[in-house]
Parts: sequence; C-alpha cells; structure tokens
Amino acid sequence: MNVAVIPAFNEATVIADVVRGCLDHVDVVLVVDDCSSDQTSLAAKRAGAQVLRHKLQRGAGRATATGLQAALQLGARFIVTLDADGQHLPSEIPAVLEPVQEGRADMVVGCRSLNRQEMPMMRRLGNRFANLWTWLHLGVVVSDTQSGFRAYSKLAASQLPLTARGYEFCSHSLAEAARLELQVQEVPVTVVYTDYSRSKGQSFMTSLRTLGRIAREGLRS
Amino acid sequence: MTLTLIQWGFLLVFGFSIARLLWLMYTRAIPRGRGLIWLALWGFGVVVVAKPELSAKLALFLGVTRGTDAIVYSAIAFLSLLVFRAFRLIDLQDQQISRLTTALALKEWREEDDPGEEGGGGKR
Repeated sequence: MNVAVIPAFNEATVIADVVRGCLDHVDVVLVVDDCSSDQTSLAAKRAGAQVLRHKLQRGAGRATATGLQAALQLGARFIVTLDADGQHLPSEIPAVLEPVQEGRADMVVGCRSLNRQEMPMMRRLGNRFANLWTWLHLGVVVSDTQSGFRAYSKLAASQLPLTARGYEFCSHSLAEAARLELQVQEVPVTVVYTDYSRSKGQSFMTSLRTLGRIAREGLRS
Repeated sequence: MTLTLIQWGFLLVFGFSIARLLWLMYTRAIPRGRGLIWLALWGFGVVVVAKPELSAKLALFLGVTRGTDAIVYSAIAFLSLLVFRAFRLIDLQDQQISRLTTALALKEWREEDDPGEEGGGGKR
C-alpha cells in the first residue's frame, strides 16, 4: 500500500486540489492538520483524505511524524510526504517513490535545486545556505536539505526517530538516516512557485529559527 | 555591626526566600535534596551580605583579586547552570507534549466511525 502524508496548517484554500492530485497515485492520503484555525480538515476530508488533527500546533516536523506513524498503522509499505501548499506536483509522486519501490533506496529526497532554473534566486541562496549549515552541523550532504517532498520505505519510516518539531526536521531526518546507514537518494522535482506558496514558505525569522535548531540538533548529536 | 540599607534589602529578600523554601520543604512541595541546595545557596548569600569581609577570604581562596569578583563569578557560573537546566527541562516537556499530541491525534483518528471510504480503505 502506498500512502501520502501531507502535514497542513491553514491550507483550506488549496488542500483539496493537493489531496485529489495525490489520490491518483497513492492508495490513501493522510492529512495531518496541525491545529489549523480554518477549514483545512473539512476541505481535506471532503476531497477524500483521512484526517488526523493535532490539538496543539506542533510544527511541520511533528505533523509529519504523526502522519508517518498513522501510515505505518495502516500497513503502508511506501510513504510519500509532500507540502500542503501546492508547491509540489502530485504527478511526480511515482518518480519520487520509484527508488524505494525498487529497493534502491530507503529514503528519497525530491530535490528542487536539481531543477535550479525554477527556483527564485533568494530561495536558491537560502537553500544553499541551509545545505551548507546542515553539512557543518550535522555532516550530511544533500542538494536540497529542506525539501518536504520525500519518499520513505517502511523500514525508514519505522526507524527514523523524528523528534524535531519545525522545519529543522528536514535536516534532522537526513542526519538520522545517515546515522542509521539508510540509503538516501535524490530525485529532481518540479516546484510550483505561486504567490500563495511563496507567502506560505518559511519567513526570514522562521528560517533563522530553523538554522538555530539545526545547530542545536548538531550539538545534541 | 551596622548594616547598610542595601544589606538590609538583600537580607530581607534572602530571608523571605528561605522562609518560603522551608515552608515548601515542610509541605513536601519540593524534593528535600533540591530544597537543601537552595537553602545552602541562600544561606551563603545571607552570610556574605551580613559579613562582606568573608567574600574577601573567598576571593583569596579562589585566587581572584576582590571579594565582589568572587561573588560575581560564582553567580554567573550558577546562573548559567540554572539556565542550562531550565532549557533542558523545557526541551523535555516540549517533547512530551509533542508525543502526547501525536498519541491523541492517532487515537481520535482510530476511533472515528467513518473508516474513510473516500480515502481508499479502512485504518487497520
């Protein structure tokens, strides 16, 4: 069984399209509503997703961890995660899942920077800095450490201790994968940058906080 | 022994803290071990405020020039330790809240009557 996990926070206007797009490529879509104040849960459910709700806002990282646990309880063999703001194309799910389905990888990262002409310059710079920062603090080299478009095998999803709360989970999970000697592969993915997805992206302050947390994770490990 | 106004002020604060601490220890609101550590610390504060010349002896023992320096260095070291412990505690509680949030979300999801026909199958 293939399951898509979508962590979401106040995405009522776009979540339905994302869910419907995913249902063409996976058996079940799980939306983890991270304590949204809008109708995200309702919109996702009406579009055909199963919805889990956080009573407290815990961040994208924790929402992903909740979704992975639910997927494992459903008996998922392969799990794909993607952002709820519509920046990832559900039509690329098969390409992201392929390496884990063929047993070539335990974890796949959909790398936006491999399609670099699509990424705005400031985002590209920020992304490169995050990659460098992750390498410095966690010792992991990946072209796009902050991508939420990923695929996990059952083994990876069950073994990765996803304790990071916010966006730093992207880097933290890569460090944990390296520690557990899981096979990580990169796949180029398209990113749709709309005004909406830009407004929903990490703000400057969130980015600083994420960098701080990555550094802290590095100290811990 | 004549105490200055600031010494009286400090003694009042330490005295109030110690009285409150003793009450908390008496009612077992805080563990005895932790209470004794605070008691020793505030007791030391009372002694140093009441007998400032003792801080000079402490400075001599620690190898710094002035008693005030010895107090300030000790206070900074102690406060750093406290901040570290506080952050660690916050971290632990944060992780516990996260685990609880996940557990509640999973529990509610499992208990929902509708097994998610539109979503492509049941939950188990």
